[in-house]
Amino acid sequence: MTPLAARLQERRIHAFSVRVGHAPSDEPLPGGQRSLAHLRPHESARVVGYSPELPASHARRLFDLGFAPGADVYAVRRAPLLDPSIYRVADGQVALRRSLARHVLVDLS
Amino acid sequence: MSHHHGQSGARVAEGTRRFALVGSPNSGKTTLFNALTGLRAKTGNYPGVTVARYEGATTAGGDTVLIEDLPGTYSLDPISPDEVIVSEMVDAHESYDGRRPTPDGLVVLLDATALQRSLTLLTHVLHTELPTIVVLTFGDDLARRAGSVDAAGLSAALGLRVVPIVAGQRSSVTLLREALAEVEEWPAPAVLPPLEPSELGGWIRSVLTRASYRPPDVDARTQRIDAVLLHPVAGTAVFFATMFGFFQTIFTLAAPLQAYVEQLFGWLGGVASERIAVPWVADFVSEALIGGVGGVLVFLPQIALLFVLIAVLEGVGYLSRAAFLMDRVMGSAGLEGRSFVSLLSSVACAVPGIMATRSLPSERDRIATMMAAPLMTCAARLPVYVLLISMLVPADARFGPFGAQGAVMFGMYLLGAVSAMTAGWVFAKLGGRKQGAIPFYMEMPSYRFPRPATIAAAVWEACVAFVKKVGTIIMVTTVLLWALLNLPLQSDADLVAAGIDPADEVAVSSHVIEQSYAADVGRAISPVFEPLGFDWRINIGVLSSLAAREVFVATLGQVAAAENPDDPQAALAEMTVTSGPRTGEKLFTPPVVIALLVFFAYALQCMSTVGVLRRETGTWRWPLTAFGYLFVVAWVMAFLASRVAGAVT
Amino acid sequence: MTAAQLTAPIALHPEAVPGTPAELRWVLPELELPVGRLLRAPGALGELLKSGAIESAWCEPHALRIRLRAGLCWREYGAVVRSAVCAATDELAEWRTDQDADTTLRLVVADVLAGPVGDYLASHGGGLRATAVCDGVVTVAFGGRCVGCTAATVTLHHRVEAAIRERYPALRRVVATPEGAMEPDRKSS
Repeated sequence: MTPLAARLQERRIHAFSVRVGHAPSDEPLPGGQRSLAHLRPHESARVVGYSPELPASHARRLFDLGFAPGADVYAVRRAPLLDPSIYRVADGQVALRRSLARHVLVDLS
Repeated sequence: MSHHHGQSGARVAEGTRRFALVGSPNSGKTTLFNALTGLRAKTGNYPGVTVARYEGATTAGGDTVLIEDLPGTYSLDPISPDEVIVSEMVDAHESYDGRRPTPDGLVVLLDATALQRSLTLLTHVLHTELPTIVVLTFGDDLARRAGSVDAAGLSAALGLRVVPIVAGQRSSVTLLREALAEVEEWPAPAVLPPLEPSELGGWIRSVLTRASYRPPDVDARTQRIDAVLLHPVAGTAVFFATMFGFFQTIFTLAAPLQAYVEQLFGWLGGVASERIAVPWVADFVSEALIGGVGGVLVFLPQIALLFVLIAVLEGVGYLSRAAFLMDRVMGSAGLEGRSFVSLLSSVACAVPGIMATRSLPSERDRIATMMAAPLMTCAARLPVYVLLISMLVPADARFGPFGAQGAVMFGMYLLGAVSAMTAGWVFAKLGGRKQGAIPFYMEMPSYRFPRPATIAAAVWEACVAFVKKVGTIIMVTTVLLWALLNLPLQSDADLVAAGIDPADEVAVSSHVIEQSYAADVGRAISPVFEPLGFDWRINIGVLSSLAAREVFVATLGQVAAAENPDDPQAALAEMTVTSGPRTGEKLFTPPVVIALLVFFAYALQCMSTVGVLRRETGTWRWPLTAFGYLFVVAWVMAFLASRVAGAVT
Repeated sequence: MTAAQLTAPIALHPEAVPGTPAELRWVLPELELPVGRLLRAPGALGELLKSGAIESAWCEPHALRIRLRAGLCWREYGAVVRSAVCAATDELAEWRTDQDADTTLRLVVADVLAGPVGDYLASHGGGLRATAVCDGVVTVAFGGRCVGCTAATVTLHHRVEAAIRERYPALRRVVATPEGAMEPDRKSS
């Protein structure tokens, strides 16, 4: 592994708190958090973080794709067989399977 | 100081500067690479992996420089073999024993319509501390979508040179060439951008503000088209119509072209036979050499057409939509949507299908799809199926409202597809969940008009690769087969001694084949195929078809014509077993024909496929695995089929 | 790390100052800084100021010009300074400057004239220099081939003014005088 790749793999992505004054990120997010998988087509949300079960490498990739804490996401459509779904994020469109989307926690308000 | 090393191609002087193109997939890298290097790209693999390498040369400031088109990546935090290559190539401190030479400068492509995301990759690249220059692409698309960016402001904010490039505009590419010549003067930022996720967003926002970036509106054109093409009902209908049109085009357009090629080589062969004095040399040249080359080139129209279609669909952006629609189905076999495109291409020919697996980021998926591709019913199986089905089912038999022959043919296609999915599932399972399994995601790029030059370059590369590497294998096998079928040479004395009249051409050729080394081999391996009901003549046919499936028809035709030159078809139908327990019985009974059909459905009888598997995986392990497992499965399935058929009929 | 930093990362990026490699302008497009030489700041930024690692720091309305002490290089200190600035912007109220608006404006003008605008002028054989800065009014004098060319000077005047105002919104106006006209050099009080 190259030194740069090693450094990049040390990145830790902290949650995005929608409320100022919320405690730092190492606390687990409150249960019942909604995920991208709950988003129906034409709904928008803001990414707040990732679920604890998501492997760190997957989280970093989602971050690099634009599904970063604080980013606005718009659900464009679902495939005819209901999976995967296309999301608009960071001026682009990305298709994600439900199995990955359910780890991206969002705030729907 | 860069050291040119490559697999073949022109030697380049030591000290030639080398630049690498870095960018996300769909950022216009290939178009820029083609614009810079023309069609002089040399391809191969990166040593040790299944990743294709594109390298070419261009001039900058009067000197030749090398341009390398690195695989598209979103991040230098790699999760797929492609991305590992990119991260190793830009590692300035290591060259991995010279297998990953570090470039002298990096050209980073930023898609102006997706600047926010593209800047993330740029921050990673800047941390390599290699000289870097930014190329801004799709500025025209940005403007079309009511966005804008100030390249000078972006340059000031980044501390890097920024060259806006408009695809197809030679002046902007010239500007880039001039910039490449001045690599020593490229500015670098005094402070590297933050890698820390919590600081990166702020940096990006600040840079975009300084660049007066107005993000593009949603691409209305793409949205309108997707509303149809990805609509649950309309989209699926269009999809199947496109796939149907795909095949129709291949078969109807390619067929006449193939006929021309065959005619051409037939004529050439004839000329060689007449002109060359020594008979066996004439035979060798006309049958083995010209026949061998012709055997390869006859595929070329089909492959070229296939590649044109695939390149157009990909350039437009439709392939990712097709993969999106098929992902769930492919997922049930442990694969993903992009595998569908490979398997689909394999219906015409497995060679482009296997090459299309390059688009799969996961090595496990790539291998599994490559192992499954040969099972799709390819065009080469058709002549064999036509012959065998005609022996099995009379032309006027009906299956409900459909013709029975057509129904059986459809059944063979279905068998191929189901087997392919099963094989893919098995190999995906065997590939296991390696550490760092790749999450599935797929970008849906805007629909764009593909540039004819890009299509041409893609098709050219594919065809040249096919002819060169694969042609060698076919040539060698054809020569070998020809030798085996025609040796040992029978002199007139030998013929007379065996009771054959040297003037009777039919008897001579029949005798030669019977006494040939190939026949010896055919008889020697009869224990293997006897349970399937094959005799030494079918064995020769099967052996010869190992080079290419259609050869079976020709070989069997040769054998049949030797017995009955006027009506080989009838000769085949009436052929009787000459030795062993079934002596005197008809050779091509229904169980035998069915066993043959099933055998051909499964066995890997195509040196072209072996060749391309070798080329794409960089090792002999996978082609041999494919050959081995498919042979075993073919034998077992043929055996079962013949037993079932024997019980039923 | 405070909670506010987690909620919205501060928009911040450094830019080089033409002619002075030891100095970087840390651009903060979304904040309004108190103008003048930075005397005190909270947190790590304040420490850097006190220790002298940061030799001087000038606040423009949307940027912080930082000069490192001689001998220190940005490659080493960039990340530290970035975090320090980020943290300090959470408590803008704690920043103390000498409120010397005119000197700040003078620095901005010098930057603008050294940048693309200046390059453009030089390429046409012309020149521009600031002769006085006082109370938000900048007096410039044209030189070289610009003298006597009315159309050019009008356009340039607007361009120069726009460039300065972009960085210093409180700019009142830019006054052009022909070269050679004697203007008393009024220093800022």
